[in-house]
Amino acid sequence: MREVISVNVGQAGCQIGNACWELYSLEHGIRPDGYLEEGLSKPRGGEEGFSTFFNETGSGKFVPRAVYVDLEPNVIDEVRTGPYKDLFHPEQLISGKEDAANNYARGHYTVGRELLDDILDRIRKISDQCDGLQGFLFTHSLGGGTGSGLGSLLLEQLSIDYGKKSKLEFAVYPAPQVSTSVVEPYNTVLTTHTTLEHADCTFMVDNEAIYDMCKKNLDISRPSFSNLNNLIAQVVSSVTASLRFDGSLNVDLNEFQTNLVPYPRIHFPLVSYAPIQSKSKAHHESNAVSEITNACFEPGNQMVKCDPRTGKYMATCLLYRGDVVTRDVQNAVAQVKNKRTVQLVDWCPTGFKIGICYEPPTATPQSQLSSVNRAVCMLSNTTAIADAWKRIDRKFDLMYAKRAFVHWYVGEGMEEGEFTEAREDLAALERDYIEVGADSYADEEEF
Amino acid sequence: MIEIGDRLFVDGHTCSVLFIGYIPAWKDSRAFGLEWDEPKRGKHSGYLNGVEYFKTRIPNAGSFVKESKLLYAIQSRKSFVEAVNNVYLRGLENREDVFFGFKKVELFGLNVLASKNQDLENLKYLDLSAKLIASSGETKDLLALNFRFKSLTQLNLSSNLFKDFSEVSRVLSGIPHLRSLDISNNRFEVYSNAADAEQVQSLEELRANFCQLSTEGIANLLSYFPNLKRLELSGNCARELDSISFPASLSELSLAENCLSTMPLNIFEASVVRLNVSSNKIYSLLGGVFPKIEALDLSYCCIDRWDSIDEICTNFPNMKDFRINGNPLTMDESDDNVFLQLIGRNRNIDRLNGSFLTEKVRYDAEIYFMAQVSTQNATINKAGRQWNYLLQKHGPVSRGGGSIGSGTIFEILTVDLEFEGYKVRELSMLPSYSIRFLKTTISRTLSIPASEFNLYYVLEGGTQQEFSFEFSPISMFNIKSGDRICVDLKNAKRRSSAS
Repeated sequence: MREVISVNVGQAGCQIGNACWELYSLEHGIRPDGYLEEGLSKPRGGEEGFSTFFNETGSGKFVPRAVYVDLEPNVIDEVRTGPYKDLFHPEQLISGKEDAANNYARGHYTVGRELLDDILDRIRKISDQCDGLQGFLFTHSLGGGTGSGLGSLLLEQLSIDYGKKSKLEFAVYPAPQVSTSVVEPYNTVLTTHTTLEHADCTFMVDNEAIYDMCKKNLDISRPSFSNLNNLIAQVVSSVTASLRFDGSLNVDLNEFQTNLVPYPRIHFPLVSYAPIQSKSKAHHESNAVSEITNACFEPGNQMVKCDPRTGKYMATCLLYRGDVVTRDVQNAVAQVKNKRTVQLVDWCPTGFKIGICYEPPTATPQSQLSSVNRAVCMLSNTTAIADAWKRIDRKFDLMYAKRAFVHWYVGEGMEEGEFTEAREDLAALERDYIEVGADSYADEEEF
Repeated sequence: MIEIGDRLFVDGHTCSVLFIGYIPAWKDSRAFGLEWDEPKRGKHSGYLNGVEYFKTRIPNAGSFVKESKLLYAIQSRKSFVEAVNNVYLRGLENREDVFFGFKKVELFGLNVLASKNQDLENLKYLDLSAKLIASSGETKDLLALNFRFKSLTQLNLSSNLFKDFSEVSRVLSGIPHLRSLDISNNRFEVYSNAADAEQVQSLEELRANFCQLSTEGIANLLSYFPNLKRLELSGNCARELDSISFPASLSELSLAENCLSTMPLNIFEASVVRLNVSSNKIYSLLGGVFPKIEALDLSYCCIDRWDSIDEICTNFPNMKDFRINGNPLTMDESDDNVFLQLIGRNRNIDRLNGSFLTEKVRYDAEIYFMAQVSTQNATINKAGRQWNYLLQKHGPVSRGGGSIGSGTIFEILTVDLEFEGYKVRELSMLPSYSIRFLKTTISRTLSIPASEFNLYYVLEGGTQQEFSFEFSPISMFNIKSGDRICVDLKNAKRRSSAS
């Protein structure tokens, strides 16, 4: 009844999509060919939850409600030939012939626009199979050409075509460690500006943070993209768990917004996940509820590099997964309360909420993550995440001051004005964060 | 009520009671001699004023405590039955709400959760970690409780106060479908499984990390569980496990953080596929072939020779997933070199230290490794199968010109440098140097400003040809090793042409 369509755009989006759908299939008991695992009469997770992400065909096959979009064929060809090739309908996999060359303008205006009608057509077909479409879940990178350009174009179009259906994003924030191009700051700023009013809630995933987690927590000396994507998929799976299984908080896409987003522009919650531990070190951890809860407030478990101790929390959702008992949860929260570093702003309509999903997380066979009985994912709207915007704005300014590489964008038909407009919008966003972080009652007390 | 060997939880530390009696210092109170699990908490080894009251296993991990200080700890010990009642059956407590500023913490779904937990018949997972459990409980209550665990498959009893494994065994006896058990962080004695004691046939996974089990203890423990598939025995300080026979069904074994110095050879009999022996003192992989192993974790051991790595290919023919970070060998040299060599020496692995290896990474690494061997920066048994495999795949790599494959990249030209007709010295250069760079080098060797001489190369017939394009690479001029390069002063030339 409450279907969600996943839209994976660009190389990063498609590869994360792969990792996610592999995990979803495992969690729900679907084999790579789309049929149920032996011994199951119906998929795990209950009719309601399960049908949000999978569509059952007449023949008893389960098909993900997902579209893969990329401007060049390589990545999607891997899906077409990979182990999960039979899970998807060929129409769900859309690839062009000419890539976006890390250029927002190519993804947004020239090359991407040619593919747009085709994509919208396919999305329309999938939405026709839904009884009550809730909205869309985007996965894309901010730094690449296709992810940023085509991703934002699609978001814009979906706003027009589907009105106020919720649109959630998982956006990969660029990092120098795994960078593919120098123009990532341009693409990031441009796409953020375009999608700011179209996306309802954006979960950012900072490649640098993920990279560090792979190195420190998982003991992987040279994390590859597959390592990063596996970890990201685990996080995405935890965020969407309450949509897919019986949950108690965020059971539909709108609730993410009501629980986390006090103002439409301040829609970038920080995601933390625990436990992140490698198989070879699993014997050290007991994963008590209080331990994993505390870990969520450690910078080492955050998906974006920033320091929440310097900021204020506007909203916090703790989503437990798996085997927990009520007493432990209550104790853990009381412990968090004793941490002085957790400050909530007083004026905000959103609050501190805790939800539980009873299904434990799964780890894929190749994953370096140890399989655990419980996990917790924290979504918090904190003003500290503005650090991420400050960082990227600074990099943007360094290049734009000399108009470096701007000709590539102008050559694809973009106007230089769009750069300044986008940059001003992000400056406004930074100011918004400062404003919401300020205490409101200070003025009232002074007469 | 309390006996020697009992386990207690005192002020946040666990300890064992080793002595009960009187000491001269405290006339009015019984004294308890304790050995703390955290050795730093202790003060002595059981000696006091020259009298040995008890002897701690780890030196200076013991201390005396008055009885009055232990009363709470003694009382707060629980039985399994009590713990289940407390944690699972008591339901929602009316706790005070937690506030952050003015904001109340809202908990959703706790009522559902509480009723789920009370439904013992359908409960799959029971977590009683760190609940101060010291015994199983009254037989009558235990039977009644265990009768309800119809679907329980996983039980966690880690970090409790059991002193004898027979108590754990009593807990297990009534649970029909238990598949996984965690008894880590308990310090109990395991006596051999008497004939009448029941084996737990259904158990597939056992975690017994940090239990300070002796080799004999491990053997006794395993006798309870004949059908194990996963076994974790990390942190048990075992020096050798050769006398232990692992269950034949075992496929995953973790022996991390023990004191093993060689590979446990007896895993032969079991069908172990994944083996974790990280943080041991293993220095060599010699001694056996392990065809079944697909994943091996050797991180933080004492491997310090490349020979040992080369053994892996022969001794672990089917291994795909390999971890070797943190060994002396892999810490010494620069990261890249070690990583690439490891790949170059192992044709089978597709995952190294957790990273997925793509075909391209493997190709580059093998070429790099062959180049290292050809420049004698790395050695490998040239008669071995790995080297043969590399040669077959990439062809021979050698230094100098005329080589096949990527050898040309490393070509160095050696030419004779002549100044005004006389050979001055030999000059080595890379073909990729520009003429301008070559001139600067020459000007430095001859101490003549680069602007004051011209540079010629000698063609086969003896004709001199000037290097005409300053910024072109040397390779453009078709120079071979042994050719001559001549330097002529510009002024001299002008003088000679004038005369």
